[in-house]
Amino acid sequence: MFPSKKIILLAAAFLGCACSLFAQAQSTIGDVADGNRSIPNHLIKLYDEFDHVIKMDELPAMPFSSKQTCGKCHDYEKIKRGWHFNAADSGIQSGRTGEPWILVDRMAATQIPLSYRGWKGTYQPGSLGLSTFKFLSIFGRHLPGGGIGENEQAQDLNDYMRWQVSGTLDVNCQSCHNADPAQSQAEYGVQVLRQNFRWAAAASSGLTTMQGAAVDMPDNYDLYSAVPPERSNFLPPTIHYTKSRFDISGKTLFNVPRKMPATQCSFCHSDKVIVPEQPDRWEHDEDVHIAAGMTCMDCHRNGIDHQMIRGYEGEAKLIQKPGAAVFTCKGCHLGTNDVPVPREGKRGAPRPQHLGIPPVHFERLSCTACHSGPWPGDDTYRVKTSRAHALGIPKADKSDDALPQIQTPVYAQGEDGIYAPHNIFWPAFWAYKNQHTVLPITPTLVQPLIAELFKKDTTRILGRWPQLRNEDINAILGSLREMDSTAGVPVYISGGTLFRVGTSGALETQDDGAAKPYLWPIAHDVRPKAQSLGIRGCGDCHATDAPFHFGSVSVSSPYVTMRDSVTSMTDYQNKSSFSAWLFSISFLFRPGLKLLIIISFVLLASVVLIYAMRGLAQIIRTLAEEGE
Amino acid sequence: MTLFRILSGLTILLLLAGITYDLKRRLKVWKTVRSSCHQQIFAAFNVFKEARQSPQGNILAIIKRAISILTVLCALILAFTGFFPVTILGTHLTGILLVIHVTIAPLFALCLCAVALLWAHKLRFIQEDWTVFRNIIKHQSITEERLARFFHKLAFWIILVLSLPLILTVILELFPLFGTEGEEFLISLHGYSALFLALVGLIHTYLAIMFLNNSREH
Repeated sequence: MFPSKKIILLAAAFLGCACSLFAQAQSTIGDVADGNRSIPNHLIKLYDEFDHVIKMDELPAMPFSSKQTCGKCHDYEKIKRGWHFNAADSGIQSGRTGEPWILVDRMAATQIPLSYRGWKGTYQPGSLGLSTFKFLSIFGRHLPGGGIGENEQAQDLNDYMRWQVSGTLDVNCQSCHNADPAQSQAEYGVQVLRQNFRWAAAASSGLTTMQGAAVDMPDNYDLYSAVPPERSNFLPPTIHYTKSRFDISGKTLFNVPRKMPATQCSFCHSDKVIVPEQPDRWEHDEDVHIAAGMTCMDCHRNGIDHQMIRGYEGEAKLIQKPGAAVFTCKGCHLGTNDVPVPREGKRGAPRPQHLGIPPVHFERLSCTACHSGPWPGDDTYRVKTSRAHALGIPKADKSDDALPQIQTPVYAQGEDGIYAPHNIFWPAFWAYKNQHTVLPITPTLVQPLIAELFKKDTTRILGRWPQLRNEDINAILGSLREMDSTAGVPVYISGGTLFRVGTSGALETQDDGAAKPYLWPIAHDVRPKAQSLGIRGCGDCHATDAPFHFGSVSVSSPYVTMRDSVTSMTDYQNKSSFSAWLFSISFLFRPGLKLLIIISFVLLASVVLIYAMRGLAQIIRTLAEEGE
Repeated sequence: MTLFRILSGLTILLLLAGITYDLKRRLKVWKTVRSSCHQQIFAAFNVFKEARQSPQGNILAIIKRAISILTVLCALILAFTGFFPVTILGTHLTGILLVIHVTIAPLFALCLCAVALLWAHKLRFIQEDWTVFRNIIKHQSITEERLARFFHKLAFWIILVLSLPLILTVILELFPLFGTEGEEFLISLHGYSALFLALVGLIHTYLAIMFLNNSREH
């Protein structure tokens, strides 16, 4: 009476298929497009971090969780490995050097590049005593959550209680995808700075009102209990939903267009170049692509894996996505051989003619060298960026000389040997130096030492940086040695130089790889063709005073004798100033040389033509005579 | 550029191989080839010495001599600065080599111009050359002296003709007339013109030396 083996096998296969189809449908309901180009309506219920539906009348109201709410239809596990979230993940290609997070401590005379991506010249936040919790408390304002915000394995045990109070900082989908005018990324930043991690996404969505701060709550604070008496003057994190934004069934409408405006990305990707001749905002233009109606996403595309195309040459090979090559400058404007069919001219991208420009330029320079960043001046400009200067966050330092001091544009040779405009900044930090390594010292250890120096001398000017003299550095290095004599030789790195106390007790300087400035290539804002380098001729770059080779790069340092020092652009170009000058000076004679060549050609051509004609006449004559 | 590298490398190597083969054919033993080369170098020095010691003649003769030397010098510098980075290093001509190249190039153009003006009439093709040409085609015997004179003239005019695209491509490159593809085409045309010019120059020099050698021996 038992069914035959065949039937059992068939049934098992059918069940397997059904399960796999079901699983597929589960994970991709919102991720697999059916081809309809209209925008799906996102009238949805909200879910909290415990996957409970949000109800208006529940107390205490829980913040909705993007992870649970959006994860109902989209593959959160896949999304969270995207470029914006995967910095600390192992096995991820870190790609071309990018903007680091810069830890600034003015009173410790410190500005140091940090990154979980391991870019050369950056330090792991942990090496400065920054746990993931502390890192988020400082820089999370411009992070869209995910990554270290929700990775329990990366959490420091000492922060365990604080994580319990603040919650995890999951991927905040609304950061990029909520086009509702009420969506406020600044509010998100403020909430993260208040350590309201679990509330930040909901608080910034425009559907809620948020009060209180987790940072004010004690370690034993619990969501469901009252504020302990010793903190009764502080408001606990509390969220209120705006009832008018919900329908009778508790659903709310998210405005999720397929293509987000550039302003959505701008919160974290803005920069402000301080051009003294153009002090006002109205004097500045936006990127030519944005002005033409494009958005960031037209080039920086991604699939459900959220692996954004960064758009630099060579990225397609690195990330093993040949199609990505189409979205570089060359891919759009010139086409690429990496794809089987022509895909250039996207969005009506014009094909550049580059009349009279020798092809060597296109091998040695990136497109951005001539087309991106501010038009170079004799000196580099200060630039403020969203992530480095907390732009967009209320109470951010709006002054033009706010720390960290970043300079732009520096026409440096990148890792690939190609010249491109870069931002540059000079690390300044205290460290212990061993045989081969430099171990940065936590700024909080140095702060009191500098404060002590300034307390003793009230005549000292503080300014943006505390002005450090030889004896100050010497004294602080001495104190650091006393603090820990086994950690290594205490050193101070600033303005490209390493300072240490010599055997004689005097301050000595030396070159060290750790003191090198940190540079990262920039690609925006792209200027229009008429404002590209070379538009006025070769002299734009090859004049003997052209900023491309002979501009000055300001050095930023609290060390008093270095404060106003500059370096030459050629220092970053793997060539001497003399050879650059010699090459440039040849352009002075080129008009004369051109004239000589033209005259020679005309004379030479005339001689050849005259004798060719005479020879032809002779041939005709000879042939005629022979014929007779 | 890769094609140009291969072609230029191959043709120069083939030419050198041809010259070596010809030397070997003429002198039979390798040892003789080596000693002959040494002799040629000494002979060249002697010729130069004699020329300096001999009476200067009229101004035109001095100018002619100066121009010949200058043209050869410029050609050598241009050939080195032009071919070395492209053919040997496989890079574009840039930096100091480019500065030298573009500074010497107008001088070379002027020299070529002077060469054309000074020697064009003397080296024009005449009735006798037509006879030589016909004899070559008909495989009839020609005296070595007449043959050498004919090839000397031929080389002179080929050099002049090849120098036209060589110079014209540079002129066109220097003005904003052509886009990237056009510029690349002009650069390769410049390179191939220079390559053929160099080959003709080398062949001409070799044949001239051989002819001088033979006439001296006789």
